[in-house]
Amino acid sequence: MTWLRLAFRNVFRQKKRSILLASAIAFGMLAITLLNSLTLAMGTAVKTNFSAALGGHVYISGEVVSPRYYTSNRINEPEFIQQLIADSGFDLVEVKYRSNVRGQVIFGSQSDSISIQGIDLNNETKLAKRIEVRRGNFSQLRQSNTIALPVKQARALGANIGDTVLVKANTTSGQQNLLQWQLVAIIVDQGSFGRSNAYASLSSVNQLINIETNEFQKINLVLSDMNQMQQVTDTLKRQLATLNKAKPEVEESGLFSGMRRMGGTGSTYVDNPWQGTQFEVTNLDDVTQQVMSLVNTLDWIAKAIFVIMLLITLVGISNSYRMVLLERIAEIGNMRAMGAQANNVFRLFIYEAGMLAILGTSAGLVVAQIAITVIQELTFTGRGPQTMFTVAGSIPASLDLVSVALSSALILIMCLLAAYIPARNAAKLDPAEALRTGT
Amino acid sequence: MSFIDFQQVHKTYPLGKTEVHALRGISLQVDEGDFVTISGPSGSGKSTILNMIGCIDTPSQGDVIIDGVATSSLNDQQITHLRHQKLGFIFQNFNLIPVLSVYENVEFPLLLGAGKNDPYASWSAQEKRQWVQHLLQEVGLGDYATRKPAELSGGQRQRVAIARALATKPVLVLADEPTANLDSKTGDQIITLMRDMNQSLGTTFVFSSHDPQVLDVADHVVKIIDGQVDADYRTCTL
Repeated sequence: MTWLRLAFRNVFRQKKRSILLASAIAFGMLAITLLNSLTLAMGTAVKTNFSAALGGHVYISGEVVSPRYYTSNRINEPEFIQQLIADSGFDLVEVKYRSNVRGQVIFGSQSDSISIQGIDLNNETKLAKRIEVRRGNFSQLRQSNTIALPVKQARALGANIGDTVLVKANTTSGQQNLLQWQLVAIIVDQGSFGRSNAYASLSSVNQLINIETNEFQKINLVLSDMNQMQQVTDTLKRQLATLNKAKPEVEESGLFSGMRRMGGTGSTYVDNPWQGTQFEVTNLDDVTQQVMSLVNTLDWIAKAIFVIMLLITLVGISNSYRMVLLERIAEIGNMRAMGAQANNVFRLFIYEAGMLAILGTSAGLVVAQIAITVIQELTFTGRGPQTMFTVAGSIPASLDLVSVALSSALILIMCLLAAYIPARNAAKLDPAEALRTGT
Repeated sequence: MSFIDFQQVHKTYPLGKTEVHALRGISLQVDEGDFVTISGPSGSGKSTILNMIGCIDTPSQGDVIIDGVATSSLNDQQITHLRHQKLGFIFQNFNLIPVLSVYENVEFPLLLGAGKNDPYASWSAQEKRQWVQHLLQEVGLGDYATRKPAELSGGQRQRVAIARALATKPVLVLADEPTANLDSKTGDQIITLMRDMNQSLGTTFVFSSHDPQVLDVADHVVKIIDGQVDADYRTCTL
C-alpha cells in the first residue's frame, strides 16, 4: 500500500510529463477503440442491410431442369423442403417464401426497371413494419395482381394509388410475359441501403415468371440467433446431400457472387439433367464475404497503426523513466539506506508505469465513448453505396467490450515492459553510488 | 566489545583510469550510546567511513564489524534488513521524499516492514501514529505534520530527517555533515537536538563535520586526514 501510494503521488510529481505520456496512451486507446468500433459498426451495418435486403439469414434456392435441358430457378417440391425445415427443429423467427424478378413497370408513356419481390404477407409480419407507406395500403398486397412501388419509381412513372400499371419480365424459361397490376401502395424501404424494391404478392410474381402458384424460388430463414447461421446452413446442406437433393457446389468470386444465386430468371443449358429440384443453401456470410473481407482489411490496418503508435509511445515511456531514474537517484539511494529492498524500488517504477497506463487508457476510453455517442447521433442522407455502412441513416457504432479489454491489456503489458529496464536498473543501484551521484 | 569496530579498513574508488585511495588502513571503535564526531577537511574520507558504518558501502580491504557482525559476511537482503533494523540516516541534503508530507516522511521507515525483533513490530497503527507524532513534537514540528518538504526551511527539513532517522528506534544514527547546508544558528540547534536525542533515547550518534565548534559537544572525536586517523580521543562532556 505504501508503495502504491508513493507511486500514485510520483505519477503527479511531474504533471506536464505525466500528462503528455498519458495523453499519448489515451490517443492510442482512442484511435484503436474508435477504429474498432467503426469497423465493427460497418460489419454490423453490412450484415443488417444485407439481411434486410435479402429478407433473412439462411437462403434456400432451387433449380429445376426443363425437358429441353434448360435450368430454371424454382422450387417445385415445396412440401419436401417445408417438411425438411420443420423436422430439423431450428429456432426460427420467420420462414419466408419468395420469388423475385427484375422487370419493367410501364405506365402511360413512362417505364422504369426495378426488382420485384414476390411476398406472402401472411408469413412476413416484420416486413410490413419496416416499410414506410407514403400512400395507399401495403396490406392490400395479399390480393393478386397488386403492386407496391417505391416513391422514386412511382414519381418517375407519374402513377398514383389505384392506377393500373403494366409489368413486363422474363419467365424462368426465358420467354417474355406482360401482366396488368394495380398500384396499391407507394412506399419507402428504409432497410435496403438504397436499393429500393417493388413488392407484389407471391402468387402474382409466380404468374409473371410462369411457375405454379404454390411454388416459389427461394426460402429465407430468419433465425432467432444470427450466430447459429453457419450451423443451420451446414445441417441443411448435410441433410440435402444425404437425400441426394443438393446442388453440386461451384466456386464463385466477386463482390455480389452470393446474391447471384438468390433467385431471378437466369437459365442455362445442362448436359446431365436431374429429376425434381436441386437445392442450394447459402447464408448471409456467403453473400457478405467480399464486403466483410474489405471491412476486415480495414480492421487489420487499424490494428497495425495502433501497434506502431503504441511502440512509439513505449519508446517515449521508456526514455522518460530513464530520466526519472537519473532525477531520483539520490532519493532511491536514500530509500535503500532506510531499509527499502531492491524489489521495493523495482515495484515502485512498475506501479508508476501501470498507473500511467491505466490513467491514459481510461482517458482514451472516456473520449472514445463521447466520440461514439456523437457518431451515433449523426444522420446520413443520400442513396449512394455508402448507405451500405449505415442502418436507417445512422452508423451503429458502439464500444466493443472484447476489443476494449484486449487493447487495455496490451497497453498495460507494453507500458510495464517499457518501464521494466529502467525499473531493474533502479533496483540494481548501489546505494552508496546513488547517494554519491545524487548529492 | 565495541558496537562499531573498524579493523584496518581500506577503500579505493576507480576514478577514470586511476584509483582514489579514500581510506588507508582505518581502525577505530565506537561504543553504544556514544555521541561521536568524525571530523576532517573535505575529501579526507569522512563520508566514506559513515557509508561503511551504514553498510551502504563495503571496504576494499579490512573488516567493518557492527554489533559483532562483519558486514562483509552479509548479502544484500541481510544488509538492507540490518540498515532498516538498527540504523538511521541523516544527510547533508536532507533527502526527504518530496511527494510525502512531513508526517508521511517520518512514518515511511515504519512501513518498510518489520522483523520479529524490531521494537515496533508489535505496534498497532495507532501506536505507530502516536510515536510519529511524538517524534515530530520532540523535533519541534508538531504543527507541520501535513506540510510537504518544499514548504519547510532548511533547518525544519533537517529536523524532519532527524525524526525520520529515529522512527524505527535504531541503535545507531549516522549523520553526514548534517549542518553543512544550514546557517550557524540553525546548525547549533540541530546539533543540540541530536545531542538531546542521544541522551534521552540512548541512541548512538555518529556524524561527520568539519566545523570545529561541533567538536565541543561530542564525547568522542575521530580526526581523519587523507584517509587515515589523525587523532582519536574522548572528551569530557557536561
